[in-house]
Amino acid sequence: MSEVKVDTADLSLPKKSNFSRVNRKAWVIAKKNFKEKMKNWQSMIWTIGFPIMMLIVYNFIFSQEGEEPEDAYLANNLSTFDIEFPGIVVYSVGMVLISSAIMFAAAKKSGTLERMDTMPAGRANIFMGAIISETFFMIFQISVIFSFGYGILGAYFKSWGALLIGFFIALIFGIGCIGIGLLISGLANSAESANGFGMLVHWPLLFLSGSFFPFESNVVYATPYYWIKQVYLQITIFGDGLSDKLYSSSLIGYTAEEISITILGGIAIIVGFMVVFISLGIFTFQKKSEI
Amino acid sequence: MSVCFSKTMIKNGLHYVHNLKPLNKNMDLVLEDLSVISNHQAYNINESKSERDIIIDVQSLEKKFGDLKAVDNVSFQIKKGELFSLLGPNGAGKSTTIRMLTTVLNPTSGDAIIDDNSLKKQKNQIKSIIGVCPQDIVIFDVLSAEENVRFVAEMHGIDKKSAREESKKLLQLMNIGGRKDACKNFSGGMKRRLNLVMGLVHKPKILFLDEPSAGLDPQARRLVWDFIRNLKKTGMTIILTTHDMVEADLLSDHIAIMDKGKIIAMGTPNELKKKDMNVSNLELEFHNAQELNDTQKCLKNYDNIKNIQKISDIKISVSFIGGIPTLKNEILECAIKVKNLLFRDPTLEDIFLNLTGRSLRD
Repeated sequence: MSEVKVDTADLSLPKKSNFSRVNRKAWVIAKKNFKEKMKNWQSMIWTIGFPIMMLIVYNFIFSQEGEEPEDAYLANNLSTFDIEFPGIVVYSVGMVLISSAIMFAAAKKSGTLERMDTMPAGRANIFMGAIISETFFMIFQISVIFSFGYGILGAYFKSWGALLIGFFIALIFGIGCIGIGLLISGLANSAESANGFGMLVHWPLLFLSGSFFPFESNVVYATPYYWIKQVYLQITIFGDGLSDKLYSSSLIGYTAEEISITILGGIAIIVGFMVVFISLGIFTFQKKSEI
Repeated sequence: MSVCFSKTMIKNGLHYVHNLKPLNKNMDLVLEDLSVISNHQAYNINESKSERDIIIDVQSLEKKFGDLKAVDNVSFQIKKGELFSLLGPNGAGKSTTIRMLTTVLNPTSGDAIIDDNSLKKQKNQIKSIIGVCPQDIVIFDVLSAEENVRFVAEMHGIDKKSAREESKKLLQLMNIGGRKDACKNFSGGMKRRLNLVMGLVHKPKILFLDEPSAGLDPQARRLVWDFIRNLKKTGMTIILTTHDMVEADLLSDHIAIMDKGKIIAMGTPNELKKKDMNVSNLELEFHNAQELNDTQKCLKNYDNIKNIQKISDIKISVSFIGGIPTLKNEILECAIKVKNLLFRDPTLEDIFLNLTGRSLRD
């Protein structure tokens, strides 16, 4: 029988805490998580099939070109569907909030997290592994949504370059949502309750941010979803640059007004949102699952 | 439940962990008679644990959950290659102790030195030398068996190629090598085998088995015991938790009996049984329940009767101080009319009963 080769570099870890170092084991965990995700068909229907269904429904309802005078945004022959598409992207990417909350809560409940805790990896690798796998899944998810929305249903975008920037901004937003998912799973006792809490956060945020329908209120600025939707929309549809001002959430209506924050400021808010929620999520999960 | 471990599997397992030559016919593992197994456990009481041989040194370990002391000032040492059992009823603190030693729980106070690594300061070093088989089946159930085992191997730093080879070999040995589907489709026995393989794939120095035979039928349990004995022959140190006194008696070199978070007795099975030498055990079988109740009521009045345990409606076990002659008065006084009377050696159950006044199953 052959000798088992052990990577001794991984075993000679510094004599420090459990949270000491991220190493290649994060990739091993990420690979395992990604496989689990791709093999779970029910989860795939929820995270990819459902957004596609929403796209089809939105396309069916809103693809007619408007003739009403208040449809100011239709100046370039844009349909309501074109304008609503960024909202669908926010909805789809934001779903990672629920799926990651379920994933962590299930690992906590089923004992797989505890089993991983007995392996020489540490929580830092476990979190990093989860962030990597969820990011790769989001890349896959956004690619599918883009292919379907832009490729098949013909949603409007200004240029390929703008679309690429939109893609990365959506990804940053998604990583922030993993943080919210972690936060929720730290507080939830089971996958079922994590799912419930996730819904309780995701759906109100979608409506309060004006992602689905225009919403005339200052409340929108308190939601991370508004910033991603607005930045994504202005870059991919109007081709706005970093120094251009953002519009209020009623952009899709005739009452759209400029606000004082630029697109660059909006991107900074999205990055800040990601950093805050990932930190808060890890802190809460670690605190709540440490015994 | 179906049988989990076949005899072939045990023989192969022995071959695998020995990692040396072809199977020796003498290793053929026919299930031994219980008494033969007991004889194998003859232990030199005077044997001291030299510091060099000690692989686990638990020092005043304590774990509190709020006001509850789940583990209360527990200390013990385990030698290399030893099979050490923590025996006790549910809630005694066995699993909490194991969870601390496997680095999952942080002790409230105390420490343990595991292969020269401090539990408090060198968790990662400890994690790299231990294997854990939890009481509950903990597998990634949408993955295949091989994917599960390979994941554990890679997490322990085994390179991809070796991880693949080792996983395949071990799964073949456990008769689950052919299955490529998700292990959520496996039977309970197969999942339990996979649970064990995941704790073994990296060939740990120390293996923690938390109630390994819980929920198995008697035949499967015996086969699990044989598998554990064979693992021990490889020199692996094994720490077992159980509330099954037969399991602890048959497998262990040393046993620590736990109750309410404390170790109340410790030693080899023989040492423990000899602990209370002046206590004798008698099993009395009656013709009917009325006779049993009358006798039980009467015997309770005597100070030299330590414990009376009801075995069935017509059978009781009586522990008393002294030998049979000392019981003469009680037998005459209570006018005991027995159908059968059996004088027997003490079991670990008796020891626990005498120490706590409760049965292990309570």
